[in-house]
Amino acid sequence: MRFGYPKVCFYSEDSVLIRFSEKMDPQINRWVHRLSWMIEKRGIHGYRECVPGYASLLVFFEPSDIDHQSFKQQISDLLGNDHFIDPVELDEALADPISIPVMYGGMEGPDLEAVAKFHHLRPEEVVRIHTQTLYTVYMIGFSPGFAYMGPLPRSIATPRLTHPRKAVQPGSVGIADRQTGIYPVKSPGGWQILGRTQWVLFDPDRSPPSLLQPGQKVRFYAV
Amino acid sequence: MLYENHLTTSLQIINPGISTTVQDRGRFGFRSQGVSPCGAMDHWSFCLLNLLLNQDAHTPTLEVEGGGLELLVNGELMFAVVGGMPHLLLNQTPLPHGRVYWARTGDKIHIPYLRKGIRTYFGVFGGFRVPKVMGSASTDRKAKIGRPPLSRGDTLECSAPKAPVGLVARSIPSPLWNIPEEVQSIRVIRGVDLHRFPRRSVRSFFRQPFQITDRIDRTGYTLRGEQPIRIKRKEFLSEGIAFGTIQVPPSGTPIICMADAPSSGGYPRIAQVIQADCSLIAQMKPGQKIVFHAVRLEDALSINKEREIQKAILQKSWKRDIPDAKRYARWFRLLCDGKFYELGIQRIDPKRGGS
Repeated sequence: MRFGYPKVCFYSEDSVLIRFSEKMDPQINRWVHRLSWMIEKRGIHGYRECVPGYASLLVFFEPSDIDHQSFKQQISDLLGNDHFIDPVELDEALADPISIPVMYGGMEGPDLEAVAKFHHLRPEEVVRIHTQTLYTVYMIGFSPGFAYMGPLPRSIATPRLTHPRKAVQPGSVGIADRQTGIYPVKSPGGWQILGRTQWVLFDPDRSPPSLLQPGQKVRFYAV
Repeated sequence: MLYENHLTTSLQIINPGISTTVQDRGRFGFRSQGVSPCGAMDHWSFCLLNLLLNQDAHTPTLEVEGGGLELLVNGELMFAVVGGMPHLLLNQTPLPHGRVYWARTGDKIHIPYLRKGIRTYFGVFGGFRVPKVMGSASTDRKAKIGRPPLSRGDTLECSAPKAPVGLVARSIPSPLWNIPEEVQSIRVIRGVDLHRFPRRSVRSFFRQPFQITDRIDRTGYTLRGEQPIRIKRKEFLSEGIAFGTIQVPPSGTPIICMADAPSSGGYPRIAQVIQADCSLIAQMKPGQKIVFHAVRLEDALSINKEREIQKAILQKSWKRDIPDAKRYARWFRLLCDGKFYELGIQRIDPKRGGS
């Protein structure tokens, strides 16, 4: 980690931001999940919830339970803890990847041909590369259950659509730059759609409601 | 019969108005799943409403945006309207807001418009029977979570238990009304991305007034200033955001994140509006102006403490209003020549004589 990081600062009256870097880096992202996992598992006084970002963690607390300085101190103590440097448990907990079935191309993946053409590849090669990679969920955002995953191999990394679609079907698997993701619900979107899964990504009645969790490993397979 | 618990109390929506949604404190604990907290935008008025109705601070209410709401009562209930300066009519009779009223079968409640502010909260004693999704009854319009916004012909079930009669003597004094000025000073604490703005832009952020554009909704308020706010590096990493976060996109026009804002965003964050003033922004409308004023986090915390004290004082004052509310069987408010009179009715014990 670079000198001066991680930085811990107050975000609002009831939240603290821990910043690990200013740059996007899958290695840095691992630290975010480690800290979030430590806080969830160990439990710290006054903790409410947290939001993992690419390179930072926003942690909310209950101001009526704890004063802001003591809460910040708890976070700093965790970061200085030896276990934080090497949380083997976390790596074990997240080691098992989830495999998601995807129907590639055709109606389900309207941009597969264009992506293949963009890289001078055959569509089957794009599918092969997309399914051979093991991805990590960097964070969930944009809409409930939308997982930003990566790193997508450079050989198929493609910019977003110039004209975003007004409606992307739920379950659509897309790529954008060096990331891949799945649209949980019908929504507008600018990612290149390679295929679609039947799996339900977000269900309010499920616990946790999102199928994919920050830090989780994900693999796709063609059906 | 009058005091029986009406299990079938309900409200029929004659007109939902411009936009009316169910809102409680919000949906917390699911931001890591990409779920927005939602909840009441003007949190202060929402809290006062539930305080007025003597119920849990998380009880669902109706957030009425811009007015137009018309309801038909079925059963007997007690209701109150708090937030902004709503024009409130009960069977065509104008009533002051911030007070508790009785209504019964056939009564029509109408909030045609707001004189000041843009949203008001309608609550009933006992709350609405709206299923909770992930711990909250709040409507999340974007994610389609919770009850959809009200529409014509809908029926809202209320659990209307017998209310203590003393409630009708309560009112919210005008100094506690949350009404913004034409040019409103808004207090902020320093943003976590301040280093991503040139010093000159930060200075101009605090010196110029910003106008509220017509791009305002429950997700965010877009502002317009004379000088755009510049960003040093145009590189965006999606990170957690919260209600009150002021983000600056490359266009240079700041956006204040509101209750329905996503859990994360990619633009640099120049400032964070203090919680007390988020409620004020929620009442501002296009054309009004904001001047940002920097405060320390400690100041924001003591403002929150003051607010808690204000609420406690208010509650105490209500207890004084009717020292022995239980003695009264009913409490009426009469409107005579434009003036209000309160009338308590006591049961007289024939053996001992009345008082």
